[in-house]
Amino acid sequence: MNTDYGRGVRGVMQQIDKRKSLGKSKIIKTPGERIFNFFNIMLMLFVCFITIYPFINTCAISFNEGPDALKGGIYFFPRKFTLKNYKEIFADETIIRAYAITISRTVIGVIVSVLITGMFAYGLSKPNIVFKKFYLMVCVIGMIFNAGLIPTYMLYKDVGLLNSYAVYILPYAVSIWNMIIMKTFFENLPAELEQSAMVDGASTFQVFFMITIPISMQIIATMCIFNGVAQWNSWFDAYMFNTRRPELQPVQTYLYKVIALSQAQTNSAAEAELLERRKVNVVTIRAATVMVTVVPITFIYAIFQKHFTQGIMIGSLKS
Amino acid sequence: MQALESNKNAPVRKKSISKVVKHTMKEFRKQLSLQIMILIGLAFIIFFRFVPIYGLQLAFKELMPGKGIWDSPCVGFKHFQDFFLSGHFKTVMGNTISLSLMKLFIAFPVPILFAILLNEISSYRFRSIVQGITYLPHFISYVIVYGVVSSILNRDGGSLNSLLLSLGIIKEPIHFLASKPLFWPLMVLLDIWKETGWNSIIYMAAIAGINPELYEAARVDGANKIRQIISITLPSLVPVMIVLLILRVGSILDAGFEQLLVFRNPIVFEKANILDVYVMDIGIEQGRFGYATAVGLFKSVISFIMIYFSNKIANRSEYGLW
Repeated sequence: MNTDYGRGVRGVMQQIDKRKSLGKSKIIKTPGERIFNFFNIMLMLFVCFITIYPFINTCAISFNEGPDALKGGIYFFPRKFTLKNYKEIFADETIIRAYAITISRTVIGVIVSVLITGMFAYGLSKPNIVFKKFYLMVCVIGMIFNAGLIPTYMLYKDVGLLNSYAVYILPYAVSIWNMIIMKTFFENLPAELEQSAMVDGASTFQVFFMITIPISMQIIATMCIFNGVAQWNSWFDAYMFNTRRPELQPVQTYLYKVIALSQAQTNSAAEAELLERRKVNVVTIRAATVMVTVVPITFIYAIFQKHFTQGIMIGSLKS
Repeated sequence: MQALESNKNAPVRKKSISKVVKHTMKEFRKQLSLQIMILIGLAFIIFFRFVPIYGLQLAFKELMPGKGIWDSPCVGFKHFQDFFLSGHFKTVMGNTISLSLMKLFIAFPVPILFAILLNEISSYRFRSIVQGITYLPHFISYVIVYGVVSSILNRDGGSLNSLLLSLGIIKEPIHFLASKPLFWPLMVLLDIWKETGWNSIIYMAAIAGINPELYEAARVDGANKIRQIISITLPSLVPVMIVLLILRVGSILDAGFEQLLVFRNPIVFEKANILDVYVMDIGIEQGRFGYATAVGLFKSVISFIMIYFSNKIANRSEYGLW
């Protein structure tokens, strides 16, 4: 589960915003360039359309009546408008419980992860730390060697992480990749502020919480987004490790089960019954479940989009 | 003479070692708070990344119910032998590597092209809107991707089928999601759909780093847009491309676990059987823990070696991981 976005982004991120001030438009365009620009804009609009259309289409289907949707031909708007699908999924307590799990694991997971990873990164960002080389080596090996699914499963089983809520939080508490990004950020902070606080007699923890964190909000926000999105999206851990306690499943795992149910033959009688009951509505119900899952994350993304793109650039700046 | 000299040096060195230890301890105590911060984080890494290595011995053992990992009987390399000799080895490795290579070669150039073209958009506003929209799929899980994509690709009522039918291009609706020959291309396309925007960030940054005077000069010399892209933009991107390519090759055994887990169904099952999926099926579903661990270990070792060396190579330039 390695996020390998921008591995090695480091050196090149500096001047991303420079171009906007360059005022390309002042130059008079040749006809060839105009044609090029026209097609280019069209292409970009098309790319945006392709990216968004699945969401629009799913939204339209989720507001449509089930049997009618199977006939096809719904593109942008529902044909027979209904709220029945949403009513049905919200009538089912499972999804509400799943939602509560998702929200709580996102909040707790983000706090725990940003705090522990942040402290870890802060410690390692100081220049004369004893054993620093050793610590970094452990991190690098830990990052590229993965013992695999089964040994992890066995470990979780042995320490009681199977069928527990903690399996949503603890394994994500430290992300080595995020640690490296934060460490780079902390290394580039001006040292004077901290030093003056130290002179005034503040402890290391006080400095970290009262000074470093407030001036590092950009990277903290970025990390919150990354962790939050990862938590919100994760379904595999619940599917794999919390099989015996379905009440702990987050909404994504619930959605996965809805999908798997509509895909494959069912095993148990209960599932078969559920499938039968929902057969005619399976497409619309699924669409509604998707919408319920995707809308919050899209909103959060839209709000924070600007901040975190800047954050990742700064975080990956080479010192 | 030599003996004398070593004699002379030995106590000094001894002293210096104890001095170093003492000095280190003193330093350690001085930075105790920082060390505590580090050690908490390190404890998590060791627990979740290194302790599972203990369980890897299962690869050489047969897990007996009731007995622990340690007490289970040793079977040597039997599991590895079983895996290499079984018919699964060929299909699973074949699937993993072919799908991975397909993704690598087809999906890899797309963000580059996208970044170059997006960079040619002169309106900053429009450019950031396009960026904002195209990054979005990176932030949703494959479960949701399946959800939104299936509403288009469904056989019954999917809008792509409706469109193709109404245009008269096809007579029968196509079951895109349950078609063996279409499965891999679909996976590659989805990969492109999901990650192109996000992966283009690094190229956008690299393009932004190009000296604008180069373009001015080229314009004065009468080079058109295409010419400028070929002669200035592309060559400037080559170092980044090479490094990213090397890093991608390093993780060639990852063909997209979650994606395949979500998109597989009984019809395309065979095509979706990559290493990770196989390990999960064999281990968790069928309970053959020893065998599954062996297959997993095989993957881990190869991945480790490949990632290690690909990073080594990438490090020759400035873009490496460490």
